[in-house]
Amino acid sequence: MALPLQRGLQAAAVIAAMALAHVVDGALSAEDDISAPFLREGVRGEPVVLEYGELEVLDVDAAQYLSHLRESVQASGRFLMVEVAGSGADDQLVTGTVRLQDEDGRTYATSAKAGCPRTLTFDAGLTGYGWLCFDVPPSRIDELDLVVGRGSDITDGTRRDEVAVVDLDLDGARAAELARTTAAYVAPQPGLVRQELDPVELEVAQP
Amino acid sequence: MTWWRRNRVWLALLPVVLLALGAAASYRVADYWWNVEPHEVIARGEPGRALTFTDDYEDALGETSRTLTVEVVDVAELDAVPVRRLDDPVPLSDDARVVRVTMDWEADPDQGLRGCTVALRDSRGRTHRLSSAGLRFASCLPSEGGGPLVPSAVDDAAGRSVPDGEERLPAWRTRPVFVVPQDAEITEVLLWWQLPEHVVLPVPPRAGS
Repeated sequence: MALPLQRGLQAAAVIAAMALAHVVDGALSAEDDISAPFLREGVRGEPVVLEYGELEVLDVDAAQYLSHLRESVQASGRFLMVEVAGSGADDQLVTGTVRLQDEDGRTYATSAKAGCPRTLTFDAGLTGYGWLCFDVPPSRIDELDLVVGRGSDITDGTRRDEVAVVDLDLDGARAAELARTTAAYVAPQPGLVRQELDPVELEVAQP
Repeated sequence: MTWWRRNRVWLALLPVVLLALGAAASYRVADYWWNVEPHEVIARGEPGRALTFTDDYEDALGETSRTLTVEVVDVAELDAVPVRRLDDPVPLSDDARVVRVTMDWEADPDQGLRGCTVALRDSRGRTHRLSSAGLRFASCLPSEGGGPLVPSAVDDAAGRSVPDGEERLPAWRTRPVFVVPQDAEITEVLLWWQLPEHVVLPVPPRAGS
């Protein structure tokens, strides 16, 4: 083989290797905390099967007030309440990541003041239930997905691990109804049986 | 000279480089998988017999160890959960059952045992920890008298001392309660302080079903 042709083939091989590496790097970007191969997408009412457990969004409701330990708090917007059922596969599943995200990528953590659990724990082989409560702007209720994973964003643990992204599937009328709610509930606590929301009547504190 | 012959040294090194690359990229395996699940058995007992073992470990003050004897006396099924939450019984679903593990412990009062975890393993390899249903039971230590503290920092003034009134008796019994699936056949009791190291205690005959 002529030397110029050989050199040309070698250069082409180097360029091809770099192009392949670029494709691989793009598909498994180290910059994304969650990348596509590890997302498990679902919709309310259907279970999402993960390698470490199973999760399902059962119901969505909203409240303006939540009561916990005889004290009631008002949401800045509305408390959007998401009922989740889940079970661990081989071990207890602790949801290190729980958040809502909208179409613009804006995220909402579970509300610290709501009195609901900030994370959920599901035993191996046993279905558990819990309501997660988020303080969200009423205008964003119709476009939210629930993101749940075993690892924590704080410790970078969601990278290269499966994460469930569940469409809350709220149509416009239902979202508008939830956005206007003035309901007050007892902040629900997790357990091994489903818990219906318990309405409370608020009393105005006397000065 | 062929291309293969001219590059034989680099070709021979290629598998080594790939292995090194894989090892360098797998550091998270230890952080997110190996160190959070029970993988290293430091002692394994025999069904119905007490196990004496020594666990070498490191706390904030340096290397130390604990020696103790533990025996799984019984794994029994309960008809109901023996606790209440906010004056109401803890509700269970139909696919759950409650088991109580009876364990006998012996250790010198100066042995540091705080921070231990007891879990169950079933015949399908599932690990059942103290339940998410809100049940909380003393699993390793007596309800009163936990013995020496575990220092949290080098300058922890309390060190490995025993607080007043926390002196531990040389022998005690615990009865942790677990909620497990109806179909779970309990085969082993696991005990650990710092994963992945753990102790395996097979359940006695005619228990755990």
